[in-house]
Amino acid sequence: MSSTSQIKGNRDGFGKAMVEIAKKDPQMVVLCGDLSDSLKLTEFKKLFPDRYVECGVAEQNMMGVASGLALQGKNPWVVSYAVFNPERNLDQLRTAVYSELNIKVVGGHAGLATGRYGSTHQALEDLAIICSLPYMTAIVPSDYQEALTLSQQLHKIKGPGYLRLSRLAKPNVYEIAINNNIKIYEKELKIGHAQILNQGNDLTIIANGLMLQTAIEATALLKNMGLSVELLNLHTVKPLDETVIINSVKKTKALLVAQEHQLNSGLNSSIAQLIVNNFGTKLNQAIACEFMGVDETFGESGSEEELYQKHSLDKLAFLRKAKLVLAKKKSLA
Amino acid sequence: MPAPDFKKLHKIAYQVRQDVLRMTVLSESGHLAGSFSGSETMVALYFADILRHDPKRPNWEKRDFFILSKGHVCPTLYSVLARKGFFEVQELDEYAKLGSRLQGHPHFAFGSKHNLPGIENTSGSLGQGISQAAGIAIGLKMDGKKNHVFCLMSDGEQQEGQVWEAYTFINHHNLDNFVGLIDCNKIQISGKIKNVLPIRDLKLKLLAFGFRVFEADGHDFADLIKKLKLAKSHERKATVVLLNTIAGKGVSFMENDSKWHSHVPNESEYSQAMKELEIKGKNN
Repeated sequence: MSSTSQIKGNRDGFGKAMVEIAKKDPQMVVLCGDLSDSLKLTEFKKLFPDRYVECGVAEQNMMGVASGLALQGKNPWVVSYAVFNPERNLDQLRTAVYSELNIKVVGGHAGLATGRYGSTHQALEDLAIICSLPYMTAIVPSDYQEALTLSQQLHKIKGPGYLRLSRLAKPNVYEIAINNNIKIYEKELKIGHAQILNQGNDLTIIANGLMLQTAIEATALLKNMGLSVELLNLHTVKPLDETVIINSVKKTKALLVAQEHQLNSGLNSSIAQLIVNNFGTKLNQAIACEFMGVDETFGESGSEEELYQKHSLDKLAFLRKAKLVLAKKKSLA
Repeated sequence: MPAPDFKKLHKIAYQVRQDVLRMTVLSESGHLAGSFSGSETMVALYFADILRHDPKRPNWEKRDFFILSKGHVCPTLYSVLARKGFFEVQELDEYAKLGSRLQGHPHFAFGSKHNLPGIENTSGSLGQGISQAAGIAIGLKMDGKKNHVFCLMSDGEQQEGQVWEAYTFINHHNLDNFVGLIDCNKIQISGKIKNVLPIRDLKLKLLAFGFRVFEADGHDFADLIKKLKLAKSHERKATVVLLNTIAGKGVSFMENDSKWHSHVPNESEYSQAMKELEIKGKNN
């Protein structure tokens, strides 16, 4: 049993947000595929039974029904695990997005830390899929507060949106920062804006979701080693906050990106593309880059500690990668 | 309500077929077999007071919804809508051209001013229309509204698993404002459905799912209108009407031949087909 099991995680924040949104918007509805307890919709169901649409384990139909509800002027949230939603029902989502419908998709149990369920329940491709769709806003909250705040903001954005949730509950970012003697530089959480958690000059670290808490711990360790790290919370994967990212790497000339996702896509590829596109205009010097993620393989059963260690997504992996990227920076200078 | 003028409806159905044939040849793209098998159904819905609608107010709140799920037969719907006055008949010539509102498969963009009047949904990927229709139907019920939702599918489309998910959903949620229409023309791209992947006894399956099921001759307006009106009468059950149709109906050399699922006729085939449709449109 994880020692963090009593902590409220991002899926709890999402569940709370659904109740808050429903109180304000009478047209808001929630569709779920037989996972309402797991995805923290118990209270929503109790308070708004007429606005909860049970769809059973039939995710393709669920996305289509959500489309029909959106066509009828409702503001639906479509909720299941990310491997089923948007992975199983991509075709139906694609049609909805092409129709510019106001649909919010919630992919739960994303990443490696899904208990011991194994790879069939570990979505590591969802951001690649979501980021390839036009008009999409994609959000990856790390903790309870982020999920609560950003879900409510996402609801106000007309059009398709994606919210990625985790099974594992990690303590709030602020709590982790305080425990690691990091003073949070910028407190505002705003969709589309990369939150600068710590300012620094030697290395930029970009992370989101459950990687963020680890990145804070790594930042503190690197600080103790005399390095000045700029840590960005990139909760919005699409659209990217180009200004903050470019300004940061221009200053540090070294970048480390971490995500609980396939290495070759999602946040990593979006940022790599952003940087390459800016060479010769906003960037006149090469930037040393390293990326972290699951490398050309699937997940498996195991504890989160074991899985993060095996796939080089733990605190020590951050330090190894930081060393590597700083060496690259030195050779580029 | 006046008795339906079957002669006039027949004439319109053949005029629609001629429109579809012309659009297909002009754009070198189309699906004639299914477009022709569904002609009488769509004409009956819009011209025989089945579907509550107003061409001058395509977004009228009290309208019934027509969700085309077999999006590849959209030329028929485009023609019916144009002939009903939703937009100018002349615009049919723009079918499948760059920048056109008449996309090769229907496109509806929520809140856009560029939508083709009368089009309610995006379709083209089979199996999705029924879920969209179910969503509209449950949304109407949430708001206490009485509108009906019609959804036209094909028999080949019943191979899609999503359709069966939707059938379970519709019956569980008692969506008696839903009317499914299945154009049973018995063909698909690669041949006869019974040879590609048979769907077996559709009526029996639908009854087992909980539907009220009617069967109709999809080319006989008297029978069609009778069954469609019955389908609209609430009986606290969702309804499906199985339409017995002929693929390529109206053109002798196209009938029951899967080659014409998406084949574009050459010049002489076009002339002969057009001549047949003109003659058949006049004789009833």
